[in-house]
Amino acid sequence: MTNGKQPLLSVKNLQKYFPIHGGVFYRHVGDVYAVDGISFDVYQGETIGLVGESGCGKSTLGKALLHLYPPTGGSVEFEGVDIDTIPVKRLREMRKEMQMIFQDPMESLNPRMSVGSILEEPFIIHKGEHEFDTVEKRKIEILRILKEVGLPENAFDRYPHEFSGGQRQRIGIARAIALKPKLVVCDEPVSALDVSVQSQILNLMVRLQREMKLTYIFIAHNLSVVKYIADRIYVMYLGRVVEVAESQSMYEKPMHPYTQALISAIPEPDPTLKKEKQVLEGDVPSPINPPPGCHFHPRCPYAQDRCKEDLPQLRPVDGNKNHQVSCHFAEEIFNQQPSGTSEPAARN
Amino acid sequence: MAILTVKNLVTTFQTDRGSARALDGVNFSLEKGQTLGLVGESGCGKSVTSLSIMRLLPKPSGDSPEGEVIYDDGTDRFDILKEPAENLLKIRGRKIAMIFQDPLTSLNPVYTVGYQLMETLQVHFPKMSSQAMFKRAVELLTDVGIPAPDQRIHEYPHQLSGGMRQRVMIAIALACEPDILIADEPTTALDVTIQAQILDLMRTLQKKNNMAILFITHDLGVVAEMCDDVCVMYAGKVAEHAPVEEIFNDPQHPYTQGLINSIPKLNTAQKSQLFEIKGMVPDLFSMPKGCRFQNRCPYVAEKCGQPPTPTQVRAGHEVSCIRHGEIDL
Repeated sequence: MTNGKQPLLSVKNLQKYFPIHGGVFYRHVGDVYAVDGISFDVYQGETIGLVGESGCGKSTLGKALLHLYPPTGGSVEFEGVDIDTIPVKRLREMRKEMQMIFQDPMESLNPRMSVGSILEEPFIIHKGEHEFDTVEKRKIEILRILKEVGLPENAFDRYPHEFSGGQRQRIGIARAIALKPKLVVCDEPVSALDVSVQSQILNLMVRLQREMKLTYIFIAHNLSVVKYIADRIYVMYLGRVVEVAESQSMYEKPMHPYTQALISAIPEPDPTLKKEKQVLEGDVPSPINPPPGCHFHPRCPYAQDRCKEDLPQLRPVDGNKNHQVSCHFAEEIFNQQPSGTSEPAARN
Repeated sequence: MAILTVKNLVTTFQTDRGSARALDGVNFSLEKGQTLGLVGESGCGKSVTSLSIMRLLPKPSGDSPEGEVIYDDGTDRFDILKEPAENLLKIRGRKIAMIFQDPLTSLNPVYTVGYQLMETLQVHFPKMSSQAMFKRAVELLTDVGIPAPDQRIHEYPHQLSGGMRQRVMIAIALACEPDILIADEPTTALDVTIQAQILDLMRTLQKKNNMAILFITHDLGVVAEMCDDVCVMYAGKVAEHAPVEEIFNDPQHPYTQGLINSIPKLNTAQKSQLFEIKGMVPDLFSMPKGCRFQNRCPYVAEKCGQPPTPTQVRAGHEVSCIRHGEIDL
């Protein structure tokens, strides 16, 4: 990964807190620590997977990357430019290069606009930055994009409600790739779809990535899907990254107790694997007052006194600088129970 | 012994566009103490099946399903579809209970958890004293693993997390120790670690109460983990019915096979071409004649225009494909 290239996107210690106001004078009484100090680099053509349970801050992170939420602290650099400090006009121009696909295409497509005008809008907004300067040229381009994402030509004059969930997601993808962006943030793009449609959309996304050299930030809670599509996976818990690894290494050797539990909780579609489950106790704590020390310690079966006070930082483990984990005792835990952790590898 | 037998269940909805046959002859049976999974994609009729069994469909558009739903626990035997409405109140909750996908919309936001639990007890055991009911309610919350149940009982649904709400729903459903629990996507809205907790809890309670579960889900992973038998539904019909191992290891219907092959598994090669079932489920108003899967089936032949009849592959394994035996899946 560190082959001397400049990263497409470079995130440094990104923080996003949402203030909570209360009391008679509506004073600032606290914060929701949605994203709390996350750093990573993304290179052209890569797919980064962001995984975690609801409330872990993965969607907030996705939006903060595109500056849809201004960050509370830290910086996001796109091709070396800090998008937080540049003028709004410049940011708008840069948005051409960074697009987003949302979970629910029905809510992200305007019901009163035809598919043709939905797809034409990006060309109108970024007028002068592309060669499609007439209605006719735009229509030819839009029909080409429709074909590219597997929609019929007559979709041009139809409205979003006339399409099924999978087709609507294709419209959402078409809109995102219309201006040939470099980066696409995909926020749970297949979670609302049925399995047979999910595989159609995943195949489409993989093909488009290959053909257009797209870079994806793929946010999902379904680990099997993330493992399938992502090159590198970030596991998040309460606004922080607890483990980073290349996807194969993540599944073969999960080092953080939370990742281990998450992988063991996935129901695998194979009844012969009546695997020994590692069921976590309790719920994800509130991000308003995250537990001190390691955020995971109240649910962690291996928690010790040090975990309650000392916040662990990401550090390389296993002699592999691409595999990082934020746990004080990762090695000890991993060596302690070889049966529990080698299990996902044994299934391959 | 089959505690619930569904025979040739047909449910039709009257709509502005004409009548839509949401269920077109569904057959299955649920054994005592066992778990039967109803699997399929959205719109295949899984939820309509459960609502038809409970006679909870909206009137008048979807009322009066045809066919038979026989409940038989050894002492009592009756056809739920023919029971008068007042008897249904004694069946629902007492003999057959139900839990839903989203516990926040199925719990009443203005009553405490305890009130809603005791309401069920009051309906079915009117002579029970309020102290006894309170005691029983705390006991139920303890059973479903809610910490500090004597405090939680006074809380409102919005004060609980998603997993806790689903536990409360299960406690309400189990209040009268029903013989059958219909679980309609009970873990779909939950995170994986919470899902694992709830599935664990359901298995424990099933063993304890010797209860039969009709488990409705679209997640084949959950099916593999929970079910003894599986019914794969497609467009209002049962495509295949088999023990869970046979569904996964020896699927006989092209749809079942497609469904299993299209999920990315943990050992699927990265960014490899995933299996696709082409096209989409046809509209209920324009179902093809004969096999309803024919427009998406890779093995379609001319005779698929005739309606398929269920064929027995071996004991307990039935498939509705007219080309069964001819095609090599």
